[in-house]
Amino acid sequence: MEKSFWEKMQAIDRRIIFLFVAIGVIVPLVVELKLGVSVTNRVKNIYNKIESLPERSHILIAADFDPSAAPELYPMLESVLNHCFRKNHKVIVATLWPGGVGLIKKSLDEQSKEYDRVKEEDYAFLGFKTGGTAVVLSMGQDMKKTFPEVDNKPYIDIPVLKGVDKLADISYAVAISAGSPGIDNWVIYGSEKYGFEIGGGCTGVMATQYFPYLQAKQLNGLMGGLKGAAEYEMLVGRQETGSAVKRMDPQAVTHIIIIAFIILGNIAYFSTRKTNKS
Amino acid sequence: MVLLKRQIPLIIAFIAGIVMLVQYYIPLQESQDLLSEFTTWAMIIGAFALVIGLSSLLHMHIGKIRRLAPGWGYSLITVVALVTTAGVGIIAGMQRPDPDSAIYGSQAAQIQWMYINLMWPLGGTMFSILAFFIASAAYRAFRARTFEATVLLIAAMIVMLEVVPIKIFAAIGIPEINNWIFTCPNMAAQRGIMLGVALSVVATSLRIIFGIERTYLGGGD
Repeated sequence: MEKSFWEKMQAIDRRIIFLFVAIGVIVPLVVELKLGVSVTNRVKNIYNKIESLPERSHILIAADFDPSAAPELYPMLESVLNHCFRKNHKVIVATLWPGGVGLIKKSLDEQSKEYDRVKEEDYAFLGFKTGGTAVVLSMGQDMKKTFPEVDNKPYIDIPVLKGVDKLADISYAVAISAGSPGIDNWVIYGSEKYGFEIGGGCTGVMATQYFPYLQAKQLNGLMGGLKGAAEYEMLVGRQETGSAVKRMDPQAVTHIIIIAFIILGNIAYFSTRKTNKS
Repeated sequence: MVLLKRQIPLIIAFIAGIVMLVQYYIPLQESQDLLSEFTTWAMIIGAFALVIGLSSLLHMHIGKIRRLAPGWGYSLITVVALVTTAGVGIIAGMQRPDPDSAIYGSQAAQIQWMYINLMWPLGGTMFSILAFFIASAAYRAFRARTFEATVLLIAAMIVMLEVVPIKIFAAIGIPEINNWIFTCPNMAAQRGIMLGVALSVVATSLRIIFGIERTYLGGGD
């Protein structure tokens, strides 16, 4: 007996779904839809905090991710750095992930050039340090002891790090993370223990787990996934130059395709269930 | 041997655990200095873990290549990639660093080139493949078979629609419902998970401190 359309839909070849997803990603990349992005308060809070700080405030950016999460988190790092440099803040970047070093260097070099910011006078990259929680605790105690040398120079000889002896000396921190160690370590063992304000950025799938921190004001803001990155790009006026806003169109179209398939799958399920029962 | 493999590690774990537990409640500079010393040790031990991880990785993959076990080709690629990256890194690292360089890592440009042109696209590709598998899995798994499955299905669809900036979705209140899902049921569940995890960590820590939990010592004698 020949199978009905819905029975065939029940057992659809997954390669057909892959094909639709591929089309949903590629077409909006070629033909810009410019669907737009609405900015949420969660992201605006981070922007407002950096905006409200006086010039030359010390801002720590913890970039705890590697290339696998770069499509979502790298635009966040770029936009936050861009914002800090535009506001003429002193930027300190650290990472607890060995795979994050290269992308931090690239981002620092590119964003600092835009505003003619000078290495070691306007920004410093502390590098990767193994230990996760231990590194955060150690930074809270004594930054010089944790990072005796930064890029082959003694910590104390670097102008931008003057006045930052421990974590409590920074004005604000943004932890952009793709897992552990990451936001949890910086909130629990950093901002809570040593008393400084912190905002977060994470991948889309992780965002839900940080809402308790948000409500308890342990995080003052949160950028979740590509949308969070796109929102920050909108705030700093990088919608034309940044990559997150451009990537929002493929993401939106793909979500609609997935929803359409879910609805089709359910229609097929209920149709065939009736047939099977009868 | 039992003394070295079992009793001494248990004594070290007990003393370190108790000292750090007590330290937290002592608001004196000496107590903070002790914490600082312990965290330094932890970072050094963490560096050793990297070496152990590396040797374990090599041991496993070289063994697979020797035995020509299924998938040995992938092991070969892993070992070649590891040796090449380490080799380039060591050679680049031996170059004299320029302390006045305007950019970070100027002495390791070769490693940065490999990172940008190999690791970055490979990492992104691995992660993006997830989108295809999630789409296929969602099609098969999200069926309204039960009441709970239906709730999950509707919640998932609302959360996915939230990132689609089409006016009709905003008009029917998708962003507000999405926000409610995040800040009410999601947050309640996350809090429950967090509290559960925290209590489990406390229980496991106490078991380790008092020598009840010994799996970290490794199997066998």
